[in-house]
Amino acid sequence: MNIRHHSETGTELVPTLQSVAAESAVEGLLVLSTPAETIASTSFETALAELEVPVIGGVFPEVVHLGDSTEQGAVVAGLSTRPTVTVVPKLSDPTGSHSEHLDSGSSTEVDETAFVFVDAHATEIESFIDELFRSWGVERNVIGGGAGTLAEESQPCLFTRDGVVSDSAIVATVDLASSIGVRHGWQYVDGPFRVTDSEGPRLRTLDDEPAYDVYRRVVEANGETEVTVDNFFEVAKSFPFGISQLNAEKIVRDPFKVHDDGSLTCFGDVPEGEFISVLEGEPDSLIDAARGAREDAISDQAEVEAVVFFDCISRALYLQSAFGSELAAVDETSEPVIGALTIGEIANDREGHLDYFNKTAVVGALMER
Amino acid sequence: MRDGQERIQVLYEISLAIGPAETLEQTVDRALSSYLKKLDYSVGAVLERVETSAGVRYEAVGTIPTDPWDGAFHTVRDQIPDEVDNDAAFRESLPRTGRAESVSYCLMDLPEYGLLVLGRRGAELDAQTISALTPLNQKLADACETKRVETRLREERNRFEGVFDAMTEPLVNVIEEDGEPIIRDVNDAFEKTFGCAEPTARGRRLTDLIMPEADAQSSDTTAGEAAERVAFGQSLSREVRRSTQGDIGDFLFRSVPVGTEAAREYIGMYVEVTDERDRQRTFEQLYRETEQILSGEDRAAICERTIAAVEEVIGVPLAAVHLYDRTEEGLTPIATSECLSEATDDWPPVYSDRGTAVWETYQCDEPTPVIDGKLVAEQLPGEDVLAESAAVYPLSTHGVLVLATKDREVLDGADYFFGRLLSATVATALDRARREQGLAAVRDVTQEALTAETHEQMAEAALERLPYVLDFPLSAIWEYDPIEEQLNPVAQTEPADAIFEEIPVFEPGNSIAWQAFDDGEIKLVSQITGHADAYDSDGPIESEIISPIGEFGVLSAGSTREESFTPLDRQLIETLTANLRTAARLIDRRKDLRLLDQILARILRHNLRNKLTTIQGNAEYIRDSTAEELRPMVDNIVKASRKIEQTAEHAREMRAVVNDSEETSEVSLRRTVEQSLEELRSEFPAGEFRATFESSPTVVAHPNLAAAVRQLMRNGVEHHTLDRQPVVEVTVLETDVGPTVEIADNGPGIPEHELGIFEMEAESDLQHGSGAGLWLVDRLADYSNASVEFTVEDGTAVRLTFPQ
Repeated sequence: MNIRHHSETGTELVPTLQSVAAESAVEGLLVLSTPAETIASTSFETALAELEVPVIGGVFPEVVHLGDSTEQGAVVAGLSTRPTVTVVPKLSDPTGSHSEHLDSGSSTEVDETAFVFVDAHATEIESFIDELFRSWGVERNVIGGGAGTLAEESQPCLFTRDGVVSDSAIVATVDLASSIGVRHGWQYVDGPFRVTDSEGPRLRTLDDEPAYDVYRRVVEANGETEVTVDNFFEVAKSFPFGISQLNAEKIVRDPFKVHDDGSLTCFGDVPEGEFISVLEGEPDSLIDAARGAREDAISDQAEVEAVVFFDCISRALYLQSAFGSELAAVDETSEPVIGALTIGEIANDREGHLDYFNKTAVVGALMER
Repeated sequence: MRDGQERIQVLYEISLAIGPAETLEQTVDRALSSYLKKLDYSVGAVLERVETSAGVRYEAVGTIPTDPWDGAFHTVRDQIPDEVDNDAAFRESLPRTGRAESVSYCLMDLPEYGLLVLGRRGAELDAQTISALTPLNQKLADACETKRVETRLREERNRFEGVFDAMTEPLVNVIEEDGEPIIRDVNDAFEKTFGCAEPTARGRRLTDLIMPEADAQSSDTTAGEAAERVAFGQSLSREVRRSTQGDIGDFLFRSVPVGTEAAREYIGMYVEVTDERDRQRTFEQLYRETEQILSGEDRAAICERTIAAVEEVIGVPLAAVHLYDRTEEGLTPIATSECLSEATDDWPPVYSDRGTAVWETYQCDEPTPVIDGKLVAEQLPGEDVLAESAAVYPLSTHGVLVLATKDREVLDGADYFFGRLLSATVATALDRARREQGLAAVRDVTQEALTAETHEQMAEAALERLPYVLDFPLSAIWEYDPIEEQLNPVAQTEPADAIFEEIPVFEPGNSIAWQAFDDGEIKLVSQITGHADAYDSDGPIESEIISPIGEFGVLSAGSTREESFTPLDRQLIETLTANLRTAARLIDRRKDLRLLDQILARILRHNLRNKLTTIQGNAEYIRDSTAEELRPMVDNIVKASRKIEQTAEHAREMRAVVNDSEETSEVSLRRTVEQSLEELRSEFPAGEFRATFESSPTVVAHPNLAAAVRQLMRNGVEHHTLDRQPVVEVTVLETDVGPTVEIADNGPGIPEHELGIFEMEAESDLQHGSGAGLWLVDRLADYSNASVEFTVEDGTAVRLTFPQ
């Protein structure tokens, strides 16, 4: 895999894109970019359209290249197999069905891997993931995450040769075998609490009490931190919710906003009637989890071409200076590691369910052909 | 501990997703999605158990992913048998776990419903978890079964609703509320028929919507209850009349109860029978009209009633009946509708033109199909009669019925059919009338012929009436001359005079007329032209009937049109000529009788009297000059001659009575008796005659009634053989029956055999002579419509009773 990092992005990246695309062994481009104003420009779209190979790309808060994460530039990876790229528009439309854009996961003799990037600010991401799972099952490994910035409004953050889009998903399948590891490392603090009132990602009450009140009580009881509306975002980095699964880690739900009525908004749906717990994380457990994810992906796989690492931006924000250790834990490999810090993660491991994660480390090992 | 709690929690969360959703598929999908998400499984399926003839089959109801059997999971599918012979044993073996090609799977029973399949790659499925899923599986099975039943019921309901809406007859679904029929649903046909759409009709009282306003006691109600009210709880079939869009229609209302005792409900269907009822009414009306037609007293009345029937039943404005008139040699209008009369200024034409559709129809005896537009104007009467379409119907050999429409209306199939029906009836009625009128006419002609004194008078009397009463305008009679052996013309009708200047004489072999006379058989010749035996095949007569009048001659009725005569005409001519033969014979016999009477009168009046006078005179002379012993013989001679004189007198009297048998006059019984008493007292001075007049009635009797009274009084004295004075008592009185004359004597009583004269009228009884007087009494009583009654008891009593 031909991997390059460029310190600029947007229109500045175009020569690099052209250069990599022109290489004979390159059949497609995977572009992980940091934000730039020119990405949404006509000239950039024109440049993308003129490329000779399909492009799958997204804008992320930070990108990962060779053991480092950066808020600048972009990582361009030349894929040795031609990707089949599909754009799924109107991701936030609750009435729409996206299955028409998705081919069925009909069996192939060749292992396939799918990169799936979504606009993190779209509202029906989990519905889309469900449809994806209904269409494909576990016939493909899926790895990806939410693109965009931490700004609250949605902006064009996904791009292909057809242009730069928002409120959409990009699905790209490549004839490459892979192995996926998914772990988060967050641990149980308190609960379970019954979700007595919720609507999508908005959690209103827990055990018939305003969710914020319950959350605050739990967090304050388990630490020295005082939880206020003003510091909620900061505190929430350390204390996410967890939705139970049997025989697997809880699925993390990352609250990021508190409302006046005491409800909380999370990245991802919190189903009413179910139970959630409050989790906390220690840097070591998180780092160990990332390492574990790498080991799950790479173990028993000798012929790894490259490692793709999608890690939640909130883990970086939580770990802060310790985040370098997490990167290092994943980078403990001879293969090049590229990736991005995403807003929500998408992955399965060809065994269990395809899910949309928060605050989770997803490592994918792409095999040589 | 927490793991266990977490398991319970997860299972609880899965159970939250299990429950009936909108559809079965959604129910399964929601549940499967939760199973897979919460258990971190990668494939799931719910299969329904389906009973087949071969056993049990499991069919997928919902799967995640969409086609889970592709790819690696086909191995899981292989674990599910396509057909299960022993389903009970199969289900006993569940849950069944296994691993095939790195895929772990579990088959679990959904009790009474089917199978749940879960699978994942990699790690095996946790047995404890699988076991803990049993109550969730039961819940899922219940939810699926509920949806299956709901789906089936919904499909049945949809099928029912589909049929309900698709039915071409108006349907209504009615529920009972407070005893009233409230509409739940109506179909499109109901809306179209009754003009009330479903949204408007629902919730309203059915009888308010469709019951005719003036129908408070409609013909379909029983004790004031409309069919729609009494249909709850029973299957009803009843004819009703209901308001439709702008009209009233006839329907057969049929209801089927549905619902329960708690909620009474029915489905009502309105099968429209308006057309059938209208047709029935039309047929009933037609029946009534045809009854009128068939009872028509003559052809004119039949034709008038035919027009009335057309106007009443068919409703066609232009109608006319034309009958064939041999005098006009055309179809003359006998009756027309008012509309047609107005259109033709009361002068509808006679159809003489053989080229018209009307004539063609008459000649072919086949109805002419409806003619349209332009042709109608050309072929129907009156240039100003604007008709859109017309039909012409033959009335057998009588004529035609013409129907026509105007103002852009067109005769439809039903009108045409009724026209045919009507024309057939009219033809039958005309046949009867023609026959009756014809026979009546023959009777009249015969009666007139019977009064003729001569053959010529008879022929002229018959021929004078033939053109008008029997429609034989061109007729003539020939008389046979045995000496010349030819048929000489006697007379012909007036219309024939206009055509033939000279009537031919028929000789043997020169005519059909001679053949008829010679054969003694009637001949009906439909086409004279070209006939080998015709007298003049080139003449104006194209068809004729020639009938022999016995030995008298022949009668011929001709026409200038071929095939003009019908079997009925032949029958009438035959009857007429038979009657004319009788009349001719009667004329001959009458002539003979007249002659005989004249001779008898002369004999009785002159010849016999003169001779008897001579005999008596000579006998008296001889008595005076003969020996004593010879005088008794002379007395006998005188007595015998007086007897003969008396008999002759009786004979004269009888002749006079018979000659005047038709005459009657008013006769005073009292006066008759008094006159008779005066005569008899003078004739029989030894007898005693008494009279009692309890009343003095006048009766209508034979003018010579006195002869009967005298005879009865005379018998009381003449036949008195007892040794006492004969007494005759006469009483005139009024009885319950009528005026009566009673004559009683004190004689020996009239012998019974003498009374036989009142029963036997043979001449042989009169030869004995004694019967002549009683015969006279009998005849005079008969001519006077009086009864005669004899009682024999201490004499003879006779009652002559006259009608009131």
